[in-house]
Amino acid sequence: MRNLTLFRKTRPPSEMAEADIDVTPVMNVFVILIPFLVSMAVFTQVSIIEFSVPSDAGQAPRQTADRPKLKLTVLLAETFIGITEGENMLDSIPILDNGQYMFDSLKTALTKRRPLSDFPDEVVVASRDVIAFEHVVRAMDVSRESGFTQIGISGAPNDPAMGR
Amino acid sequence: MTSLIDVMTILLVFLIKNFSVSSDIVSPPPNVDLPVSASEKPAQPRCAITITKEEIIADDRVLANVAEVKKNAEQIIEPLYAVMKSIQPLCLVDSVGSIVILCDKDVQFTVVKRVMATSSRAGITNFSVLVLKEDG
Repeated sequence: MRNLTLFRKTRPPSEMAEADIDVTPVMNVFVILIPFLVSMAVFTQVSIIEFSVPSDAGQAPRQTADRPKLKLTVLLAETFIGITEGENMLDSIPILDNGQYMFDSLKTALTKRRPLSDFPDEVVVASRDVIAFEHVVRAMDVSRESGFTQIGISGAPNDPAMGR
Repeated sequence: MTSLIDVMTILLVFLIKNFSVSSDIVSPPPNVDLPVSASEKPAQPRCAITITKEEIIADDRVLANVAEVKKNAEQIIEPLYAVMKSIQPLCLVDSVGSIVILCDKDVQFTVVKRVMATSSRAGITNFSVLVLKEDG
């Protein structure tokens, strides 16, 4: 320790000065690299949802002489979401007071209904005319999350009696 | 100078994280607010129909007004049908007419339904919609 102190004291002032790093080349690289990366950056990522247009929304062609096999249909109406099978309304989920659809309840109901369906992989999202497109996309998302792999999209009749 | 280097380094890391080797094949126009979805399926190069809050656009042409389409009882949008019929051979994917719909999230479903009905009449039967990735 004593030797070190002595050494420090004896060093010339020029060697004591802090070394100054030249960052200009680094800055040059950054200035070129950053505009290039900005031009190639993706700030919003897009994807697609593929769907079919069913010719028989909610109902499959009769397979045998037995009762016709029916597909589940998610009906998007102004005041509720319905799950139907053919003409039968299985579940009806009303909208919240603030006008929001209860998609969590839809997911629970679809997950429960799916194994009982004649077509456990297929569902049709049927929407009424005035429904905003984002709700249709959300219903398709929820259907996929519930395990359905083939999702059809269709218009629903504007029948006020439907889904009481 | 050191603080500038710090800023540059943070910026560089952020940009490298968002770097994409292949730019998006389908870019949403600025006046279309796409719906958000959890779908992970990447966009494919396809013919596109854009539905903004006001207009229906295909082949870089404004073909119909959304308000008029809603008012009209006709399911087929004639100007769109004429264009889709003419570009249908260019929209074949595996011999099936395919199209991607870029639709604003607030557009009513009736407009989307009529666009799909018109496209189906023109021989395009395979549909997909462009969405924003939920965490994108």
